[in-house]
Amino acid sequence: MIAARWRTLRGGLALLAALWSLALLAPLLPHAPAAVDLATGLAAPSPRHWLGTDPLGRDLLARVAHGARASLVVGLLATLLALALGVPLGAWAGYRGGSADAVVSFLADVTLAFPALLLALAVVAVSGARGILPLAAVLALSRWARIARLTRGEFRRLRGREAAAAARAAGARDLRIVSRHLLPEALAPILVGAAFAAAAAVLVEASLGFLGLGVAPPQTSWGSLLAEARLAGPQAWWLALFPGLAIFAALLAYTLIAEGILERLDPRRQSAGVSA
Amino acid sequence: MPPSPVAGPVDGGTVFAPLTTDPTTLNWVRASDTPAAQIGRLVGDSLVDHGPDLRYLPRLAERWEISADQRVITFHLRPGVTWHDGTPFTASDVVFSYRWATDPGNGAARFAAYFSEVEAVEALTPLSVRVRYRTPFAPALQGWEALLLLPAHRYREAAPGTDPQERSPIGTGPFRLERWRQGEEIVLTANPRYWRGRPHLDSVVLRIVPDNRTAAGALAAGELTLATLPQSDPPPAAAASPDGRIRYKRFATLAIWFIAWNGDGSNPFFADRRVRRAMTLALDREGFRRSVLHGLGQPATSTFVPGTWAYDPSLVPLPYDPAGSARLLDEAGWTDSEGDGVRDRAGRRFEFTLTAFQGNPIAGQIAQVLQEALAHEGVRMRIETLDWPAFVSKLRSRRYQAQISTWLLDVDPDPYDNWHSSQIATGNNVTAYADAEVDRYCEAGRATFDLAARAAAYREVQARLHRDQPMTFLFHPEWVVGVDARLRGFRVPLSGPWRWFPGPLTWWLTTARDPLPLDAQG
Amino acid sequence: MNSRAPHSPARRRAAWGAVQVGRAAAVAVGVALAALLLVRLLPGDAVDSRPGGNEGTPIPPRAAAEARAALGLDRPFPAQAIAWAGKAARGDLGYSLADGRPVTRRIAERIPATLLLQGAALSLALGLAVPLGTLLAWRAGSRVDRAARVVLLACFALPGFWVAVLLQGWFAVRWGWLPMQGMSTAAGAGPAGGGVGLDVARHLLLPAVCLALPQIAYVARFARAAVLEVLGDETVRTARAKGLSNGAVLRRHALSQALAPLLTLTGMALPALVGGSILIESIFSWPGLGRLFHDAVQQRDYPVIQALMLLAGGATVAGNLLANRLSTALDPRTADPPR
Repeated sequence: MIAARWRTLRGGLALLAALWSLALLAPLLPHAPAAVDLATGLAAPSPRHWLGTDPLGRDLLARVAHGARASLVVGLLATLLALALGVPLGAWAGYRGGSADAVVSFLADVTLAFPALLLALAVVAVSGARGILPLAAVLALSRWARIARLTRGEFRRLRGREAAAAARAAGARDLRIVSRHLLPEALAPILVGAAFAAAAAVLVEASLGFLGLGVAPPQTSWGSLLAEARLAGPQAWWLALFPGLAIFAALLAYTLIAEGILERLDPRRQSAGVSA
Repeated sequence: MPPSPVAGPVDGGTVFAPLTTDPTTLNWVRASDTPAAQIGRLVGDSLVDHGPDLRYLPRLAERWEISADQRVITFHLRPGVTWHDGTPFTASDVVFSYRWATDPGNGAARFAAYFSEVEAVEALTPLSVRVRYRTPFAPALQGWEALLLLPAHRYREAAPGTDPQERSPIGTGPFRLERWRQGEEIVLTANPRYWRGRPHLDSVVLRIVPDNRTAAGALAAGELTLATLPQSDPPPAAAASPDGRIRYKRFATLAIWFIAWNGDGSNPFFADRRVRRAMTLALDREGFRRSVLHGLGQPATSTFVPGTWAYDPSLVPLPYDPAGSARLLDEAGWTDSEGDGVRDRAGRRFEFTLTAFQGNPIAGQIAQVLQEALAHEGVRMRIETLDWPAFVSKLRSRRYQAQISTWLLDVDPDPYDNWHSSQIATGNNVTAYADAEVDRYCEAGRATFDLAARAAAYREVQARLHRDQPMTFLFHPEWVVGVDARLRGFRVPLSGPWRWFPGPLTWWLTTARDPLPLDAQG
Repeated sequence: MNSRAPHSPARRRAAWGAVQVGRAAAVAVGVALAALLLVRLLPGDAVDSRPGGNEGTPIPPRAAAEARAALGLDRPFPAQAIAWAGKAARGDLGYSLADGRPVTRRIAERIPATLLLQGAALSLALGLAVPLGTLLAWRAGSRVDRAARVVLLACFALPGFWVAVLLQGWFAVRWGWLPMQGMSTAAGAGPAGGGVGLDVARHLLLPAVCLALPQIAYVARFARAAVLEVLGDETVRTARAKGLSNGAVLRRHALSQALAPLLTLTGMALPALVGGSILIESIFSWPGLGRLFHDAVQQRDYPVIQALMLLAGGATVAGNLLANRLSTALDPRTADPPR
């Protein structure tokens, strides 16, 4: 039984590790992602090009591997930014309550009122952000609010707990109470939220790339590879299959991790998944 | 199997054709986008039009005379023509249209250029118009070919500040606007009182189909009667589809794809002819055309189109020569003095930005091929993709360093607007190209109506453009149009299937599918 | 204690309800300000830097001046905000920079298409997922349950637009079984027979399926959890103890109580109206709000972007409030303010 509980989490971590290794090992691949070879355009998968080539003759495996860097890094950065902003604010709001809670909740509610892709599209359109860091910042805009709300909920719940009350009675300062006693308890749900946030970030980044608003060439992302595939037509089935599979794998990995932690927390607390 | 006997034209039927996007406005004078032009040519009429060989033909003007000093053109209008609402068409409509088009408050920028040399336009009689030019102006008729006329009486009756032709225009053309459902379709029905006779077709429905691939799919499914195939698809090997339902025709257009190099000195790279030539040599244009475009498109040497009277066939496009390119860059002083893999000169690295339109995948692909090629030569190129308004604005205002774009060219090959130095500030000379000899030849080509003399002048212009490479001329696009085999009377001249008159006027539909290839038709 | 005493449960509930509405209103105001601020934060003048329209058609000077005034770019922010709010309250959201028509008209003509698409997807999702989730909850722990949950998890992680590209490529382009784009074919041009309804249905199928796929997974898991929760509940156990059959228990108690969270879910569908189908509508050229937003972004049509953001934000706030009120009405226990 215990082994079964760990299986999901392990599966997710393994998948994620596989994707990251693909991204990190990308420079070792035999073909460069931008190496144009007009003579071998649109070649089907073969021993020479394992995943085939795009219309300009560029190796698809190399492009997917390099695309992984953009997609995974943006996703990770966005999640870290969201955590850096959301956890402290949410903790403060949940623990202190009152006006702090009102302000943070208001800001979070306003941010969450906009669907994530909508907000990201609008901000990218207005600001013209195209680099990895600006994109991560844009993606973090939506994510922080959800993390904050989650953290707030956890800290509210834990506030009334015995240990905290005891510590307060003993005269400990707020910050110490929060970091020493409450944070470890709230860690697991926050990690779940982070995993879902990472999945959502990857999806939004891919969507932006698909719509042509992601990173600029020669940098590729899985989303823009899918857009190129759509233009090339369904005859070149490999162009649409593999980048999409990569996005799917990343989303699956993060979701499995989240589910794994959830299972570990409380087998009956099988939620439907915090909405991405 | 012998072709079935083809009966004469029959009336009736509807043709379904694609439009890439909604026109911004149906006022065909103010708009300059392709969808508006397509519709304008069907609903509106101009004084003059051009035939398949691009020579001018009468349309609303029955005939015209050019005075001895070549400064006055008198148009004699066709009698008995009426607008779609029944009002007679007269010379006052011509005068009004001219005034409206050249009024800067109306925003019809291109007519300012077409009519820049006009001194006066006046109606002599209800059926004749006299146009006086400041100097002999050979491309004069181009303006009257481009100006689709507006109904003066409608503007007199309209409330001030509104434009009655914006959403529901009327014209004198073979079709009238029936319905415009935004984002979906525009329906045109035949004008039974058209001066040349009723069109055979009952109606033309223009459906909004955002990309060529979707249109091709719709054609295959029988939802469209004709469609241009995506440029990046291989052209069909046969002249017809295996089941005979669709026939294919390859056609060239009056257009050019280019990479413009901003030579106005705002960047240290492209004012030097050697650098521009090096850029052209670095790009394998022919390889791209043969593989990615599957051989569609004609190599270009300048903005003059092969097959036109002004084109100089003796010019050969620059070859693909990476070594030669590197040599030229060395010569121009761009060497890798710091050993960091990027060329530099006087402390400045050779890094520049190429601007592309984000909705154009071919442009994006060319840009990436160039980026890769230049990377091997120690030049770092950044690709910036912009939305249409920002893209156009950047090119026009010359805030770009390099820009890849395409131009639709006029029937008249007059290069003045694009290459004369006076057009740098306010005209279409987007590369800031200035050569005194080219200026002289442009002016000479305008000042006479003698085609031979004009052609000689333009040959000189082409030679210099080829030498100086103010743009890297990529190719003149060719397209393949798929046409339902039931459509007859379909021909495609150099200006494309929609710009040509009579065009859709003579199309007709039959129930039998014609196995004859499109070229063999009369 | 009579019910008018200050701390009676009814009073408390009413007060809490009022607080919720007040909060929603505040958030709505915040949303409007955010939408306004976004456009205002542009570098440079939004209207100046664009010739407008397609392929360089310049905006007529009249429309440009109107656009600038409508965007309030010539006034300080507070005055602009007030003016904009006043206009918006009257239903005047400015003029689209792309074609000069009133923004409200452009939005209004797209709403039916989006409603149709989202409605179809939601019906599909609910129709498939609720029975599935219920069944899985009933058979919780079995092999079928475990296997199905794996599949559902995979579906949940499936990117909708990837599925759309693949399905469109095969079913529409390659094999031509289904139309590739749009909402309907021109009358008389498509395959004969069936009429308008069937034609729209054929166009609706692929986009609705692609939109519904991730929703099915989400709803099924949600339903399963909700039913599971209820199955362990007091009243249900009592009913079982009383000897009611499984089926009766399920129908009478479990479903009705699981209905509340599901209705909450439907209330959450409101915000998705604007932003939920941007990609699918773009891929299938479905003439809805999502595609309008995408086009507006491509064209930098700021009045439309602003109006749609306002609409999206407002819909979320309204949807949340609606969901809260609905669940309160259905299950009074949730009406109490949190401690």
